[in-house]
Amino acid sequence: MSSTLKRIEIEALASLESEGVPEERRVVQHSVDVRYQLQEFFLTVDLESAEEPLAEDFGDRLAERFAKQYADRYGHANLGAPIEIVTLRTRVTGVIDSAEERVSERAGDYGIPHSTRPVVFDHETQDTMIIDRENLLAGHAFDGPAIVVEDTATTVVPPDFSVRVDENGALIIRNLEAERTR
Amino acid sequence: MTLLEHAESSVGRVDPVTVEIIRNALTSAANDMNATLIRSAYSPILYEGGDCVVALLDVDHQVLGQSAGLPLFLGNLETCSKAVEDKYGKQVWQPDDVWILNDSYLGGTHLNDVTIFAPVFVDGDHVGFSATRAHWMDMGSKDVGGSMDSVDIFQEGLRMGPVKLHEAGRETFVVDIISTNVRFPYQTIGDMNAMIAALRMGTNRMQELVARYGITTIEASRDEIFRQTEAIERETVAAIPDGVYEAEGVLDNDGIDLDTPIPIRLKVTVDGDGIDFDVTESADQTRGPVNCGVAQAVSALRVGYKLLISPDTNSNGGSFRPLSTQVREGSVLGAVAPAACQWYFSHLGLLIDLVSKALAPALPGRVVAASHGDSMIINTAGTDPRTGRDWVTMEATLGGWGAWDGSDGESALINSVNGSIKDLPIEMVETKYPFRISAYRIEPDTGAPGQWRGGNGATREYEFLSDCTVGLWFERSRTRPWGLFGGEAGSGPEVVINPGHPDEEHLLKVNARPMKAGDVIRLTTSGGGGYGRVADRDPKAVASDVVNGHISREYARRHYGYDG
Repeated sequence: MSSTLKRIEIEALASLESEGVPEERRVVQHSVDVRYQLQEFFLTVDLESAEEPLAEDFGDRLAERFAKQYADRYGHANLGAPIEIVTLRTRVTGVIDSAEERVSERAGDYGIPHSTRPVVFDHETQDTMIIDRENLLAGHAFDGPAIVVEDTATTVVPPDFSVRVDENGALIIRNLEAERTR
Repeated sequence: MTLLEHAESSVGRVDPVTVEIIRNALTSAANDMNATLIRSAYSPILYEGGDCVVALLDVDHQVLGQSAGLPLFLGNLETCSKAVEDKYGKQVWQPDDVWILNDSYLGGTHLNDVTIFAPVFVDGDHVGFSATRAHWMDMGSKDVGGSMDSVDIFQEGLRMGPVKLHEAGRETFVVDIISTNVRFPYQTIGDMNAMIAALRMGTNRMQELVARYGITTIEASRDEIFRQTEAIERETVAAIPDGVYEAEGVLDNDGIDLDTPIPIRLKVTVDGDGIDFDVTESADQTRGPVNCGVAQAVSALRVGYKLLISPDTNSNGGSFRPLSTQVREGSVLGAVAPAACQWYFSHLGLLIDLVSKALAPALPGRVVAASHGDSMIINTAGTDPRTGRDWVTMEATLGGWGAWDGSDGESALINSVNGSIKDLPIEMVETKYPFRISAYRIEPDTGAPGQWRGGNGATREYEFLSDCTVGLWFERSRTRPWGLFGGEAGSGPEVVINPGHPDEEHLLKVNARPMKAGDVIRLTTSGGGGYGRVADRDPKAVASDVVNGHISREYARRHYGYDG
């Protein structure tokens, strides 16, 4: 148990390092999901360190800590009843400053570069704009149907929805029908 | 009452905003209790299925807030605290006491439904009750988990009148009596503690509310909430034409004498803003276990009433005031000791559908055709070869619901009696128990034809990986799910053991039947009844049903003259 937690910790810290988080800003917290035998739902109990499970009295310590947390949540506990560990967790946090506001480039006078493809919405085939997210700049606006593609996500804009790109490059999508009835 | 009088009589005391806050706080307190019970429970029937209900009551046992849970437990948790008071008087309530009761003739259901409740005190004043009811897997009945052929209550397990489970905050010997009488004591005591945890949550929430608003404001809000609820219901009842409406149906049998059907008869009398449900003409209590206590018969009638009169509001102490009920002691609906009560709900499901059928001529736009209507229970028990541990399961099977004016019935839903109970996920079942679910599907062509068609039933097939026993309680093959206004009836239930093999066997009810590893059992539930004449169904809807697999091409040709 201890070696598994340690292995995850080393892996996760390396990943933080590769992202440039300085050593003093890396925080590690190990925990285990615990329940009484035969239960389904569990509580997450924090550990002192990855080494804590090596302690001789770890079983008792964990049972007590779990019982206390269980009593806080449910008003009673069954100290002494068999407990099960369901999941080992290691959470590694890089404490970073909040990001600077990113201002997107303003759109010019020209239209939005896109291709057109037939897409089925609600059983009906419609010619639909396919837009690369990189081509969207602050101030751009268009109506659905459209599909915005990027490396990490695909945004489907159904017919009767409109899109406006704000100062930070975020897509503000509105339901035209809801707007009308407001 | 004019608006002005109304303003003077109640809103003058508590403003409507506070009333709404308190109404929602009470409902949310009940939801918190339910979540506590489910999250700390030990049995899948609770943490996956949700076979439980909780409520907060006032000192007069009126419901302040209740979780959605099982509709069939609507407004009968209060019978338990009332039973204590009838026996011992009001002075019996003491802080930090917890009470337990599962007597079928008091609580109305089977012994497996255990009610645990506690008085709530604030600064030494008794202000109400916190109450929970949950299904316990085994009560020490002659067969594991409950028998399909019990003939008296003594075969059904441990029966507790109202007794103290905790006294002044300490467990009593009753806990020990329970753990020595049930088959799965570890799990059962775990579930018991989950219920007590839910009680504590309810007690805390109620104390917080009283501390914040004061008991006077809460009581005034309660009166206003009850008044509104009653007014809405009376208005709806008053709109039903006065008259006497009747409906009847039969249960297949009592599980012992398989050839004798059991009639259930309902007479509804509407008079102004009052409505009376009379079931006294129903069968005498039976030898087999299809009896229930009066409390459950009243509950079922309340469910039938609520679905028609006030389906969209939470029930509370103001609900059901326009409703009176007549139940005969010694009948299947008003069982007296020592009647067997294990399958206390089959006639109750029928009764709920009968309320709709009786009132169909008066409320054609509100009523619904009959549903599959029964829990259609499969119970399995054995010793798991992987762990050497004994197991027991109890599952309700989904079926088709009836159609109504403007909509087809829903397919594969739990029956009305069970409300928000969920079917157990296949992954969970296959992990915990030594069997495989080899098929689970909505069964086409089981729902009835009509202008609006009935929903389809479901097929669930089990393949056993070790020797075990199976109990079955499948109902409503004689009174199939009827249609309304020309709609036809849905299919009946069908259970086949080893389908397609030389030893193939059809049956609907059986107690602890031995099964061998490799045996298969296939359960198919009924589809719901149709609404309106087949000739009036939109041909486009028929074509769409064929395309979407709700009905087969042959069925469409046969019933609707479909030519595609």
